[in-house]
Amino acid sequence: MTLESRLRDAVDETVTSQRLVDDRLGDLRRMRRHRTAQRAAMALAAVAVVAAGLAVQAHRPSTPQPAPHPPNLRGGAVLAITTEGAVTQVRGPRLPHLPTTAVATGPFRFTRDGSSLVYAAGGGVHRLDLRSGTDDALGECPDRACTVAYNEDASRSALAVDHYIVVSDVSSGETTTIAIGASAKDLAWSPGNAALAFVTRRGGTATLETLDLDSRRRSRLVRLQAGDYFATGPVWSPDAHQIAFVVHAGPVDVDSHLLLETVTTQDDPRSSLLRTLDICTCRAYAPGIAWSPDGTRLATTLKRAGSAGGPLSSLRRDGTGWRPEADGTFTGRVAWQPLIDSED
Amino acid sequence: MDRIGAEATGLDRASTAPPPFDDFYRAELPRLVALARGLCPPHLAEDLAQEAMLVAYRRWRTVAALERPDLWVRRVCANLAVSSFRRRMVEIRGLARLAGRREPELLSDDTEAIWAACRSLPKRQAQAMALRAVYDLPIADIAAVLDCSDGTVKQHLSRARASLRTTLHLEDEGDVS
Repeated sequence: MTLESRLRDAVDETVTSQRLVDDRLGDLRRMRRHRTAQRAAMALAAVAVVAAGLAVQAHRPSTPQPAPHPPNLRGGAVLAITTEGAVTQVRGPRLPHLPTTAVATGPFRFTRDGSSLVYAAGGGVHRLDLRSGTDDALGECPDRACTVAYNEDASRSALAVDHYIVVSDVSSGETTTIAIGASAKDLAWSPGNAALAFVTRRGGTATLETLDLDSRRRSRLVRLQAGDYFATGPVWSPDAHQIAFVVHAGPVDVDSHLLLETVTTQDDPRSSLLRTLDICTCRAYAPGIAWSPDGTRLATTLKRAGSAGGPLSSLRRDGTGWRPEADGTFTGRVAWQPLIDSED
Repeated sequence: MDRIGAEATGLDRASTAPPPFDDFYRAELPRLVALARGLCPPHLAEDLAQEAMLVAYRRWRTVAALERPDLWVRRVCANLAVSSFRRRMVEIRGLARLAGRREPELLSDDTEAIWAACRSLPKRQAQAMALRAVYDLPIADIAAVLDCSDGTVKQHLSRARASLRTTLHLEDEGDVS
């Protein structure tokens, strides 16, 4: 058999395999609508940043209602966890009291007023008052990775058990069990505590969903392709209008992509690729991400080749303005402290 | 202005509506996917062909007015496949996911082996070879798509054939240009 005839056969088979041309023409139209919508969304986002104070009051009938921003919110300290589990302050005014270590897969967040840090260490979850240094135990970790989520004032926790989410009141111990029909992980409370975001696996594909805690209504925001997964679970923006996450896309052995993306939480969710964080062999790496308190930037860790962690960088919420923040071997969790000006 | 980019002049084209994009799409897509198969991994080929078609769709009035819109979209596809590859692919995959991506069609081992060998060629050789194999284009048209001279295309094809024969363990039946 000659090269020419083998090529001809290959072309014929490939061309013949394209039987669903009309279906793909429909796909093409949808792609165009998506892109048009994305451009419009980018333009709206620019306007929204300017008018952020008005935007947080917008009415969203079927999605979680965000809590209003505290006045004069500005960014304070940024904390990250190294691959050895050490809590490191990478920028901002120096905090006098910090935990020494924290679990990089457990809760790690500032409370809404920025006065305390919720973190996991020693098999339990703690609330550290950053001014006095008082450390209170909130509860035990359910597992070694401490996969429990605490809301922004550490008054409630959420835990995925089998096909249920168990929401608990920290002070009273009262629990509510909500069926979600699939195993969940990476739970994250929305600002205002109205909703939870989490990752499920339905039909063999990883899915990012939200659950409105009042109506029990679930919304599917993102569904990945088979084989792809969420390297980093959902992180709500301070206004609750967007969720950031990191997708591990492509083969697991070589040249997979770590993609930093956001999705809107409105009725018609729209995803945006902000940046390809890395093209690497990095199956086990979970970048830490955190929103700045004013919602204009995202901080993220990167994996350095040959290391289990990497430096911290940040970028604007539209994917531009990439800049390095701190060198180190960070992984898993990043927390960005809200500060409230006292004069107002 | 090259053979692809020369826009039709006069009232006959400018004053009439462009031909339907749907017809162009149905005629071009199957071979465009085959072209992409020869230039990028199978799981990306259909998305890549879609991406090239999307570019044509968005600019259809302008593209339809070209002398050879078919060559134009093949150039877009061939260039997309080899330039800024990874970054572009990621974006394409992400957008395709939003639009409801389909799994690529499974092909026979022989066909996959041919396309894999083609993809392993140097970029320009792979482009020339894929265009020749998929469309049976004359040298001049391949040169127009790749924006190079006829002599360069002949050289690329000759080297590509030699490499493919070696890779696929085929006998030398003499060059056909």
